[in-house]
Amino acid sequence: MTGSVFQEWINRNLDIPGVLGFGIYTPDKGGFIASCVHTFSAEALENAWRCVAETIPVMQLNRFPTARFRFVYDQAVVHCERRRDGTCLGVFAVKGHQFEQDELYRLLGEFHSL
Amino acid sequence: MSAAEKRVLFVDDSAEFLDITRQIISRFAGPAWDIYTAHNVGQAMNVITEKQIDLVVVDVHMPVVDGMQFLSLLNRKHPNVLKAVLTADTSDTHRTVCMSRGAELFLAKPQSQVEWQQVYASLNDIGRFQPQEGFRGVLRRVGLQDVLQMECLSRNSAMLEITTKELRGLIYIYEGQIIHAEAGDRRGTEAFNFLMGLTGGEFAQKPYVTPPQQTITDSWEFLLMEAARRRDEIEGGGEPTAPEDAIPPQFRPAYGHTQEAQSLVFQSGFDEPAPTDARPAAPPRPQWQPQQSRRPVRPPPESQTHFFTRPPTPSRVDTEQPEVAEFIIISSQGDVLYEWRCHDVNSRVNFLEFLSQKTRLLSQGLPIGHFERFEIFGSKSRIITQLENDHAVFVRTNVATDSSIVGDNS
Repeated sequence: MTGSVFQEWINRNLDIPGVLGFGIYTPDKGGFIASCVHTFSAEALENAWRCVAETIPVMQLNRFPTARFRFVYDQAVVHCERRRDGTCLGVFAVKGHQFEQDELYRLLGEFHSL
Repeated sequence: MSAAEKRVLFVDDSAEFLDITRQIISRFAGPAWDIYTAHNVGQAMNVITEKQIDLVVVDVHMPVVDGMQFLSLLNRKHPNVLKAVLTADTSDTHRTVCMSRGAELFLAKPQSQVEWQQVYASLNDIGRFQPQEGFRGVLRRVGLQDVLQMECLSRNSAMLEITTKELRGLIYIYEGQIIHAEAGDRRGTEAFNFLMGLTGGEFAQKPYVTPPQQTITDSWEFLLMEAARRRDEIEGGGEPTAPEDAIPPQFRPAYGHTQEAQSLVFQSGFDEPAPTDARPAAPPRPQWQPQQSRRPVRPPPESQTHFFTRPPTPSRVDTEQPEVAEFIIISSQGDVLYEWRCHDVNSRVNFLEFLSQKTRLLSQGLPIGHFERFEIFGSKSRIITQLENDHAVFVRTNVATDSSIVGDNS
């Protein structure tokens, strides 16, 4: 699976209401981020996504599941989903937004089927 | 003290590598960095104390005390010092362990001019995303009380500078005794208690200088106990702090699959003998024993375990509810306040410290507010962690199989 497939998929989903940004982390330690709002600078988003990526091996070290996890802040949630091949998706979303009920699980399903 | 913006210490057992590093990094940094080197951990600890180092760059493989052990030591002894690893061994295992022990960066030793420049740029950038709220590095680093206790036990002489947005305070330690404190207009014990009651700010350890006056004569043991007692009084409304007080209310309904289970969890904290680090309401001065271990990790005594070894049988109505499998609360200083069925307390404490670091870094520059919790969804378990200013909670529950989770690919 090449990163471009994920990138194209994310580019098609940049306009979903409630989504602030995306991050993809691939097993070869590559990845990319995509910001959906101007308040999420690429630099800050990259820093945040690096923190998420660094959490995965520490979770593994502790023998925690890594298939699905999320960081909850009082204004946003970072939903993370990891495929069996190790590719990890992060969706930065407005906390409590309708997106979390409707679109999130569609996105996660699509991510697994890519 | 020079006018350099950053004081950086490189620690490596190779003298040759340290010479090269100093030459090359000096060229990039110019007068903005004061560069120091140390061949071993002992030498490094002296330099850190004497020169007030901002950033320590450490090799992984060193004799006697290796870089990973050194990182843990630094977290305890110099909690505010930034840490990076520069190593030829960039295995994933080492990287993970170093990051989990507080390294902000894990870099490969450079082989070319371009790589050296990249290393310098990364190290120069390292302080940019630093937390500003709460005691800097709360949880992953030790607290003020720990540092004081350590200095006094070691019979050291030092000065601790505590700064908040509003004021600057100083605590003077001379040969293991706290002899003076000042905070704004306060002096002596009043100032000491005030500083120990602060819930946010930063503290730094500085070389000892003779105070303008000596205002404190009580033993350090008594002072720390008294400060802890006052803090407990404030937090607990006059009663010693109980574990239940520390449990965030939003967690309470979710714990335990029955009311009985909940009461077992919480009841044990109240009815059983006080844990070894519990503080008496009125500490007798001469009888207090200083804690030798700053992180008391204690399995429940036999008298306690019978409480837990027979989990209550869930009723039919409750079978859909999660079953608490593990539970731990730690203080901001990393002390275990309460634990239940936690088989590897140190790992959990380390994880919470790591999470504290990462969640603060994660939010830097993003308008996402304060961190609330971290949740892990496994096909058969859930983990929830919550970090507060003064404590952290880790809960693992067993749940009915969740088919929406595509494998627990850990």
